[in-house]
Amino acid sequence: MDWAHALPTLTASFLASVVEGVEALTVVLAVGATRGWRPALVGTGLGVAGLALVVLALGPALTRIPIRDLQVVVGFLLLLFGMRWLRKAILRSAGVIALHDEAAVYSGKSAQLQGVARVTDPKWDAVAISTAFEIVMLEGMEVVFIVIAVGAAGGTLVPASIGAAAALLLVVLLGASVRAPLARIPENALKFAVGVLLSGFGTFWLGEGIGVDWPGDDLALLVLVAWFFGVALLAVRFCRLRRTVSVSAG
Amino acid sequence: MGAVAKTLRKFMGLFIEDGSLAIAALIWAAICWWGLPRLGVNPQATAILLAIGLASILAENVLRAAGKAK
Repeated sequence: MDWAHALPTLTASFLASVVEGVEALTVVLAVGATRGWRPALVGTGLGVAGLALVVLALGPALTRIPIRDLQVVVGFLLLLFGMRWLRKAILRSAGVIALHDEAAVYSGKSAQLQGVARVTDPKWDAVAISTAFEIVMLEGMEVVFIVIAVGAAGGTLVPASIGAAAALLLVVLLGASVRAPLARIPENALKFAVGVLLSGFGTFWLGEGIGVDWPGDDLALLVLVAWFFGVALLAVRFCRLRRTVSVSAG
Repeated sequence: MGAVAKTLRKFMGLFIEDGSLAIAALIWAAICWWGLPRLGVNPQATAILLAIGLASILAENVLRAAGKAK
């Protein structure tokens, strides 16, 4: 196995899956606590089944696409995905936008769900089931995309899947034992790390696809990750400075 | 139709939050793919320019966002 690819792949899918898992868990816990655990688990189960269908449909289709085309498309999508996360993480670290607050999301969702009229048969509480289903599908789609994208373009689907499975198992175990939103997980630091990794991966695969010649070959991936990390750290400093100037002038 | 549009919008939302960032990255990738080789830039230099350009686009975007923040 090529560890220059496998290790960053495993790390990226693990960290991204922790972030997405924690976000999904918060809403599922809110559904369970306010509307009952049965509809929360039914919605979650339906969401997981929906995701399995997406994987079964997408997986074989991807193997038919020529590797160069796959690298261009997947590389560019990974780059956009990674830069979107990194952009948000930089702006949050610099205090430009507010940090994500799991406890606030939990309270808001709980209040919203308590406000919806209860059904006579709590087993088929459509509001609760659809809320749990929607969040699992939404956050799960991001996990599926990351696993398939980082895995398929570099032939490292196994470490990517192991990383995601380990993360989701960890989140479920923590959620089951704590029974409260995992607000202490450093969400922005994780998002920052995943953004850096996926920006590096995306740039590398995009470059491979468009026919550039990376100095150092596969080791260039590690250099790219370090490059985006350095630029992102500098960007946080300059954004803080810029924000301070902008606030004091306004 | 509404559900399809909603799903598509959510799918696009996975990748694009700020349209200008996505468009600038797309243009720079296209320049590195088609433009630079036609100007005689070698593939190793193109690789380095691709990485520098994409990181610069991200840095410019967040600095612009920080400048606009109240």
